[in-house]
Amino acid sequence: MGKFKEKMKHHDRQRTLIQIITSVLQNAYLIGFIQGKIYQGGTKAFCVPGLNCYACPGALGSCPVGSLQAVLGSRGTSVSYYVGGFLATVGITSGRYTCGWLCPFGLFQDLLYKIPGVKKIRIPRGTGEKIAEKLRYVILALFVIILPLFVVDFLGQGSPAYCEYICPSGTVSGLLLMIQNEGLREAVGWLFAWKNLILGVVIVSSVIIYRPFCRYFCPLGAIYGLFNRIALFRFKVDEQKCTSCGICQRTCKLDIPVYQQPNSAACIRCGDCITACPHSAILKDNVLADKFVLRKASINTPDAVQSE
Amino acid sequence: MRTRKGKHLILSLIILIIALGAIAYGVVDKEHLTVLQKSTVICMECIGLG
Repeated sequence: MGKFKEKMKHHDRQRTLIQIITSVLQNAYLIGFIQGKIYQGGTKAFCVPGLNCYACPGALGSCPVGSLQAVLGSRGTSVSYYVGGFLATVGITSGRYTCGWLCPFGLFQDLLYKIPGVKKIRIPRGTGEKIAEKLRYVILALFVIILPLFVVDFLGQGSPAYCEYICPSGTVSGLLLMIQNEGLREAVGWLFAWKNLILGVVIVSSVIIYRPFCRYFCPLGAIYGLFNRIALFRFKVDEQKCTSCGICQRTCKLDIPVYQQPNSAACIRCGDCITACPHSAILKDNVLADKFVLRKASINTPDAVQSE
Repeated sequence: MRTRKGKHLILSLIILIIALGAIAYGVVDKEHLTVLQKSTVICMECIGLG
């Protein structure tokens, strides 16, 4: 049992380290934090894969959800090929791998969940949970797509409704900016209070529930989740090794029955199940590499050489 | 006869090619400049100032 815990801890430390490195790299404009300003260089034309507000003082790239709304809300645009293509590229290559390993807001919630001395609540994956998870899709459709497209001002510009009314990542960015920027502090109003209320709820709930924002509210996770089943990087279960013992489900903080649904849309690809499985029955399935490596291997087998 | 895995790979690659094509079309259409324009000024909506 001690060995099992040690193995899980090692995996967790490894993942946290990668999350920290990627979050720092995405927010490496350190002067911004000191001066209360944002980066204005050309790299901001590129999207980053995770939820990382472009109003964050350190952000070097653009948040794909904010970018999507910005393009959809601009006059005369009804489809965003650039951001849509980017989201589909990330999704089809790796599904929700970004959520588990690269997203700064995912790291934020993970760190909050690590706070000791608070009783953690494990939400079973029943019908209620599955219905609640659908909220992500409602938020995606309504706040990220429909409202920016159709609720426009007299100039024909739509506003980024998700960023404006929901996104807690933007609120964190605002707080970071306001530390050094007095002008912004003076502009605070009811909307800031509302967004701080949402951020507060996310923070408190993240301490007791694993990744509440990712589970119910994140439109980015909703998009990437759609690709989990068909992504080039997936999980698979070796049915000859799997004994259906359920350790994977008990280890999974999202309570996903991995042995039955290795590519569930709710899975953030943290990989805890792979580490925990005593039979090594859950595997990373890189479809593209498998295809070419297997083909190459089969060419080199004695049978293949003989048949030539 | 193609295996399930082979079909899956073809579907994934088709989606990937379409997605990359969409990015290229977006760049030609100067969508990335809209993103750049929006992200290089402080987004008041994002930080909760409306």
